[in-house]
Parts: sequence; structure tokens; C-alpha cells
Amino acid sequence: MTRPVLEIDALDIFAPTAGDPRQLVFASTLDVGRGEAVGLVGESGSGKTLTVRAVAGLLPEGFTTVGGIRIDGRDVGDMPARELRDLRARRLGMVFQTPRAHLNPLRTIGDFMTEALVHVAGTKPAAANRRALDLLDEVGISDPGRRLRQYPAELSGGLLQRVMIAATLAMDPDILLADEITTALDVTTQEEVMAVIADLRTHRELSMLFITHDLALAGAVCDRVNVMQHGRIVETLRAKTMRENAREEYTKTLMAASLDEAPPMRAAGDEGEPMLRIERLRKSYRVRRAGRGKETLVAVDDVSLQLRRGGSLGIVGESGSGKTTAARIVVGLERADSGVVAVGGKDWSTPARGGRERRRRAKIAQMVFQDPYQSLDRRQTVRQCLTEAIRVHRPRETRAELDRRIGELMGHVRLEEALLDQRPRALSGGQRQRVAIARALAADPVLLVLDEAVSALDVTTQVEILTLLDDIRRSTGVALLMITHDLTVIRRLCDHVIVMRQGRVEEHGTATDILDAPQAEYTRLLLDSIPRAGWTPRRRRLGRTSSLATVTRSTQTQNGR
Amino acid sequence: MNAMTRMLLERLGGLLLTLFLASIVIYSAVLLTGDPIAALAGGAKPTPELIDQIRLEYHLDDPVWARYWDWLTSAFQGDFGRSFVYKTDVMTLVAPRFVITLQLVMVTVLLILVFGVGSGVVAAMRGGAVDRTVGVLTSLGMALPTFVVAILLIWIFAKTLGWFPVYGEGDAGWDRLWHLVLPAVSLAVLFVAYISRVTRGSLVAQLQSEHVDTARVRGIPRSRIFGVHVFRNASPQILAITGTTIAGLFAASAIAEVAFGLGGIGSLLVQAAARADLPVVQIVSLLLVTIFVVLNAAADLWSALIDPTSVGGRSAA
Repeated sequence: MTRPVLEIDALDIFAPTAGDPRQLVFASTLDVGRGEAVGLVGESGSGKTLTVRAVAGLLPEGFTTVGGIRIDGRDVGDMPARELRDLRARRLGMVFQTPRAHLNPLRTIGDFMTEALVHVAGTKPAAANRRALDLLDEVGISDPGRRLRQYPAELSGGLLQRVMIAATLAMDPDILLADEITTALDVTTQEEVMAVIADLRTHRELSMLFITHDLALAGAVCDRVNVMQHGRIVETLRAKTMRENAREEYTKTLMAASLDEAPPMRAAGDEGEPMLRIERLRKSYRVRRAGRGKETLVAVDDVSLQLRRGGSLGIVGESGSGKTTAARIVVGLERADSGVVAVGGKDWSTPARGGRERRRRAKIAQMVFQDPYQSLDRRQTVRQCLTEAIRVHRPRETRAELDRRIGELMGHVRLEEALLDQRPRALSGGQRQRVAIARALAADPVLLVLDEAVSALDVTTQVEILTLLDDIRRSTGVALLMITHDLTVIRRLCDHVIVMRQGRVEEHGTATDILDAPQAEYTRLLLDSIPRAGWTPRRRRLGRTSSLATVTRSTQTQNGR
Repeated sequence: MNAMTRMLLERLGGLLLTLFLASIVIYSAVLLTGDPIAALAGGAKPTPELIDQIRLEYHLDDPVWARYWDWLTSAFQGDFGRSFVYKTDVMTLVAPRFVITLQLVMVTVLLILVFGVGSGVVAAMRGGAVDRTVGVLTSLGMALPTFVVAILLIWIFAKTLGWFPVYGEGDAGWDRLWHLVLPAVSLAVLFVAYISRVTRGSLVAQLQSEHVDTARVRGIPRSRIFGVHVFRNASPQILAITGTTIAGLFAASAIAEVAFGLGGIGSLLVQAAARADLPVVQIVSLLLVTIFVVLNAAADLWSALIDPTSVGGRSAA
């Protein structure tokens, strides 16, 4: 074997603090051979992104490193800045997690594709343009001529990620640094993008350093996998045999967290009245068309479902499937065009009018949102947050009774009472989501609507929160309505499932039926797209190429009034 | 380009509507502020006959809307009325003074662009001690009222050193520029500090944005990253605030004009208001509104040119 394309040798990374620098990465060592794909897997805060940013020269200001980074055998430590910039520009290609944020929103796709060619490699604009067309074609983007004239806002996330990949290929790099490149994408789009990369790698002898929190995905697309925890690489495994060879407890936890092993939840008989009943629900928005004028987007189309007391129902679908809109109608954040929403025998088809009615409904149904970083007030301590939530429904509660209730809620979500006087900043993502759940439980609701409530969390934290939710359901009898794009979440939490696509119900049934014997082709596609042992990404034609008309906050407020 | 044309037409319509509404507000507000009889009678205690004569001559007994209509129709024919105090056509009174204010504002804008935007750019790009120094200086600049700066400047550069004239607008040409330096500096200090902060803030936001990381890792030269990805993206925000600031200068210039004895529209407005010279107050106020709206529209037009997604009033965040 020839010399590795990338070698990282005992790399330490330090963050600047007021006193001594704080070490975040400890003696990180790995190498990527020519044509090889190497995974770097760990949770947020494990130091994997810092490691790759050190390679790319993108560490935040004030960060320092000790140790060696060699690209094509050349140590970046003792190179003049100009030469180093050139080496990185030509030899590395970096693709990021959120393509929309990583493209200048005010420049066209064409500007982005040709910029490095023209301004770094000195190619003539006309030649660069031709190359851009070829590259877009290579990553499977249709109508590349039109794409070059479009702006990032006009393309879907999956397309933008392919544009990113195509643009990095313009300089014919030796290695692709891929930092969580599919985390923000739907599972089917993830498969598309990974299939594109697999194609490119076979044709180009392209190496890859693949950073992800998803061990199953890394195992499926890489030759070797490094597992990183608390700033240290704890284990390096061959992908093919990682299941048998894993020694570290942490690696095994990550594997178990991939969830595909757990059997689906059994539906516990259909006794009892449905406490939530939705019939023929429909909701449409007026949206701006890609070209000119407006069109009607039917976000929820003829959807019916039932949820019994103490049950748990999952609504699965990709972005744009209408699952979130349906949930927002249930809790009265949106008004349906037509159809029936009945909760506990009462009609909830229209949003609550007046504060008293809204409080009455809030006592019955509560919602937990996706991002615990944004759904908590930064200035409130946990105690203040919970006190507020309890006082909404029991304004005259005595201090002693209040404290007893807060203690009970903290017990439900298994948070230590020592955290009561902390603000969200001091809490981890998982702890924050526990606070958000405790806040929702404060009203003693009979229905908890969870909108992608674990999607923003690390896999091991996901498992903790899902287990917690299941325990809470069993002990308090609250019914769960889980909105998610992730079928593995359903497996852990729900006894009934509804699969939605483009506003319509594709399939519904018990979790056992849907997960083990899916009938609809779309459900099978969703299941097939989940990375697991022995999985290889395939290109499928179901992927969309044009941007969906998306429902933004402004269209919602326009239509909602 | 179609959306652009529509935006331009909408803007023009908005401008006319704003002017129309502003003229009503200004016309009625000015009427409420005082009885013009004293001003028209020329200071002496008027006899009842004189008052009647004045009332007749200036149609003061007509209903307000009729007088407004008269004023509006003659304004459309270029006749904005006669000054109560100087008894001359207001246009001949305002036009030369407007030129002086315009010159003062232009010099001030030049200072703001060079030192305000310039120091903001340097602070954002250099960071560290440079950034902190600029931060301290701009805090100081924002805390200094224009008249204090004026007094300081007069004392140092005009009285003590004798480099610049103290008073008046001088003759057209270089002499005029010479006379405008100190007033422009005194007027500019506050706004230089303000624009410096705005510039620094929007540049830092862009510098920290992720698309700039992308450009860096792709090896795009620093100068191009700054010009094409940082400054260009920040420019609509900087320009929108600079635009309203410049518009505000036309009103704020009054302080500098009074302090340095310049005969511009600012000092004219102050005098006219003090003497209840209503036609003059009206036209100067309308002029200020027009400038404000036009500059605002120009800033919007720029951001539309740069950011195609902003046309239609909604941008992809």
C-alpha cells in the first residue's frame, strides 16, 4: 500500500479559556489510505468535528493544536500559510452537515460551482462552466443548465448536498471530508446521497473521512471505523467485522442504539374508547410557486386516525408529508380546512377561542417540540419553568404543594433535584428535553404530542428519552402521539403506526404489522433506506429533483388568521 | 426583471402616497401650532382692521380643507406660497439654502463612509486590540452631542489654531468647502460612530456564517472572500441604515448650521418655526419627508438587486 492520503498523529486540540487552555481532543490518531473510506463516529461533543476541522484549517479562533496532520505526506504544521491554503484547496474537499447554511444564499449555484476553479485554479470562466455542467450531471442532477442559474433557496436539501459534493469534486481532490453530511436529510435522501458518493468513489479513487453519529451508517459505507468518545479515539474496527470485534462498552452501546434489533412493540389489545379521533382532516396553504404566481399546497389530505387512552401512535413520514401540520391542528396551533378532530368526545376541530377554553384544552393535550435548545426560555431556571407550567392550571397552589409537585415531575423524568436551579445553558441536550417533557406533564395531560422530540438528540440519549417516555406512558396512562421521520423511533415507542406521504395516509396498522410485514411500497422503501448491517445505499428514482413548496412561518400566519 | 419593475412601481406609488399623507399631517399640524396673525402683522400690535385685512388676504376664514386644497393645487403648479415673514416666494427662499445644506450633508456623508464604514471594516477584520480600540472610540463618539463637538472644534481649530473659519458659508467653490469642514466634522462624529458599529456588527455576523467557512476551505483568496461573500452580503443591511442616517442628517444639520452660522434649510426651519412662518415650515418639512422616503427606497432597491429572494418582501432566512 502506498502512503496514506491523510495521517493524523497524536493530535491534541485545546480551546482557549480565561485561565489555562482546556483540552478537548486527546492524542487523536488515524489515517486514511488512498481510495479508502474511514469513519469517525461519536456523539456530539466527542471531538470528531473538531478533529476534521483541524485538518481543514477551520478551527474557531484561539484554538490551538499539538501533534501532526499530514496531507499527502506533507506536514501542515511547517508549511507557509499560502502553500497550505493551496494544498487544502486542491487536495481536500469538505462537505458539511447543513448545505443550506454553507452556501452563500445571495450567489447562484453556478457562481458556487465555478468559484474555486476560476479563482484558485485559474480556469477560464467558460471552461469552468462546462466543467460545472459535467459535475452536476455526474452527481445525478437533472437539467444542470437551469440549476446553475438558480439560487440555493430554490433547491431542496438533498439537491443542495449533491451540489456541495459536485463543487468539491471540481478540484479533483484526493480525499473527501464529510462532516455529518446526511444528518439533516430524510432517510431516503440520505440513501440517495450516499449512493452518489459510493459511485464517485469507485470511479475516482477518492478517499473519504466520514464523520457521523450513526455507527450503522458508518459501518455500511466505510472500510474502517474509528469510535470517538470524550475527545479520545477509543477503538478502531474493520467495518465488515465490527459487530463481532467490538470490545469497548461504548461501541456496543452505540450499536444497540441503532435500534433495529429491538422487536416492535406489541399492541395491547384495542380495549377502551379512542380518546383522540380524527376524521377526513384536510389543510391546504397558498404558497409561492417556483416560477411565478401562487398555487395551493395540500399539506394534509383526507387523514383519519384514532388513538385510545394510554396508547401510543406514531405518524411517520418525510419532510413535506404533512405529519407536523396534522399534529399542530390537534393542539390548536393550526386551523383545519375541513374534517373532524375530537378529543375525549369534545369537538376540537377549530382552535380554542379565548383563554379559558385554551387552558381547558391545554390541561388535556400538551406538546413537546424537536429542539430543546430553543423550546426552553434561556433565562428561566428549571424550577421557574416548572412552577410557571403548574401555576397556569393551579394559580392558587401553596408553595409546599408546588414543591411537592415539582419533585414528583422531576422524579417522572428522572432528573436530580440538584438541577432545579440551573438554567438551560448548564444542561445537556438530553436533560433539556427531560425538562421540556416535565413541563408538558405539569398539566397532568391525557395526551402528549411529541413533534420529532428525539431527532435533535444523540443516539444513546434518544434511547434514554424513548425508554423514559414509554415508562411515563405506562405509569401515568398518558397517550402518546409521536411525529417522526425515523421508523426506528417508532419501534421503541409506538404500538400503532400511520405512514404519511405528501399529505396522505399510505398505510396504517399495528407496529408489528407495519415494521415486519409492510404492505405499501413506500413503507418498504422507508424501511430499506435505514442503514444496518450488510446494507449498501442504492440510487432509487423515487427521489425528487425539484424543490418542494415549503410551508414557512409567514405562510402559516397568513393562512391561519 | 419583471418582479423588479413591479417593485419599482410599487415604491413610486408608495412615495406619492406617503407624500400626500405627509402633506396633510404637516399642513394641519402647522395650523394647530399657532395663530399666524402676529407673524403676518410684522411684530407691531395689529389693529382690528389690519387683522381683518390679513384674514381676508390669506383666506384665514375659509375652512381648513378648502385652504389645504388651494395650497395643494397651487403646489402642483410650482407655487408653494409666500413666506409670511420675508414676503417672498418660498421656493426662492428655500432653494439656495437647500444647496448649502446639501453640500454640508455631502461632505458629512463622505466622512461617514470613509471613517464610519472604514473603521467598522477594520474592526471586524482585525479583531483583537484594534477592535476594542474602535469600540471604545465609537462609544465615546456616540456619547458626544453635536453641539459639544461643535464648541470644541471651534475652540481648538478656529480660535486657538486659526486653521478654519468660525462662521458663515463663504463663497462658492473651495472657500465653501473650507467653511464646511468643521460643521461637517461636528455633525459626522455621532454618525461615524453609529455606522462604524453597524458595519462591524453586520460584517462579524457574515464572517462567522458557515458559507464563509466553505469559501475558506475551498481556498478562495481572502480579498475575494471579503468582497464577494462578506461585504456584499452585509451591504444591504449597512446601506439600509446608512440611508436613513443620511436622510436624518438633513434634519440634524440644523444644530451644526446654527452653531456655525450657516444659512442652510436647517437653520431656516428653526427660524421659520420660531416666527410661525407657516409656508416655509411646510415646504421644508415636506422636503425632509421626500428625502427620507427616496433614500429609503434607494436602499431597498440595492438590497433587491443583490438579493433576488428579497423581492416580494420575503427572504429565505
